[in-house]
Amino acid sequence: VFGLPDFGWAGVVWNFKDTTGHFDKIISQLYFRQVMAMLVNEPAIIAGIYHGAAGLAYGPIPSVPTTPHVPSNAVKPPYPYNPAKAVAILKAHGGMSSPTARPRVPSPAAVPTSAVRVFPAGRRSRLTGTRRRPPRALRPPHRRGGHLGGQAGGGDQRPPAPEDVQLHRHQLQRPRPVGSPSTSTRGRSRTSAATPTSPTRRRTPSSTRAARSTAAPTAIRRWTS
Amino acid sequence: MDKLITASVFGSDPNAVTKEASYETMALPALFLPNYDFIWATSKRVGGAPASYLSLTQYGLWPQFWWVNKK
Repeated sequence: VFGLPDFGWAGVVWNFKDTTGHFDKIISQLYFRQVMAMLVNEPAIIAGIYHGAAGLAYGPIPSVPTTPHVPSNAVKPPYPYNPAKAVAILKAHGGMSSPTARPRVPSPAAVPTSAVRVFPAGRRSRLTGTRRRPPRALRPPHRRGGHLGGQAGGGDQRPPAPEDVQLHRHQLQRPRPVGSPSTSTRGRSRTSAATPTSPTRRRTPSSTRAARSTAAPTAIRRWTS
Repeated sequence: MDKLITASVFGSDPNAVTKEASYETMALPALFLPNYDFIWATSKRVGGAPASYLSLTQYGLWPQFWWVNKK
């Protein structure tokens, strides 16, 4: 493990064009940006968050490591951490002196009753949403879909037979269009990969996959027509 | 500020970058936060040419020159 101080800078870029809540007018005032800078305790952040693996930076050129390009006013914090002074500056400019200057958080009494009816007290609820399938490699074998990755509509739910596993390996080595006759020279593979229209074929997972692959375009055409 | 940026990018003044940084340090167009270090951690089983590791200090990642040491 090794590392070094970075020569870039990290911080929050103000969006001076964001008109949400008159943010553009607020952030365009220098005193407000100074107040925000006074609320940043860089030594505490370095010690508590980065565990010492960070350097002081009061401008676009960091103070650490020391370089000739560091301006003289960035060697020490131009706006040192001082929450009390920050509050005083805000009050001096009229901020935090009126209720409208604070974020509007509705009190419980102000919440409309219609919102309470959605989840009445005492009713058990559960989170609903789309269940994410785990990655294919993490699923049990019988949940991994078709033996070529379950391309055709979810795949087979049965555990594959040993001969099908052998077929799967063979098909991975020599991919061919799904549904086309196999060109394999292996007897087992040729038997299992018969065409879907073969009347004497055995119902194997691979043939199920082939049948689904041929049925899927038909279903799509039917859906779009 | 636009003039300072233009001078630092396209100008010939060697102090243009410092001048721009000095202005931005006071004008605070961004909320400057501590600058975190770049840290690399590699397995002890990974070796490589010295230059490929020294390049990390120049932000160059050359894993193609690494190899896995035998136990």
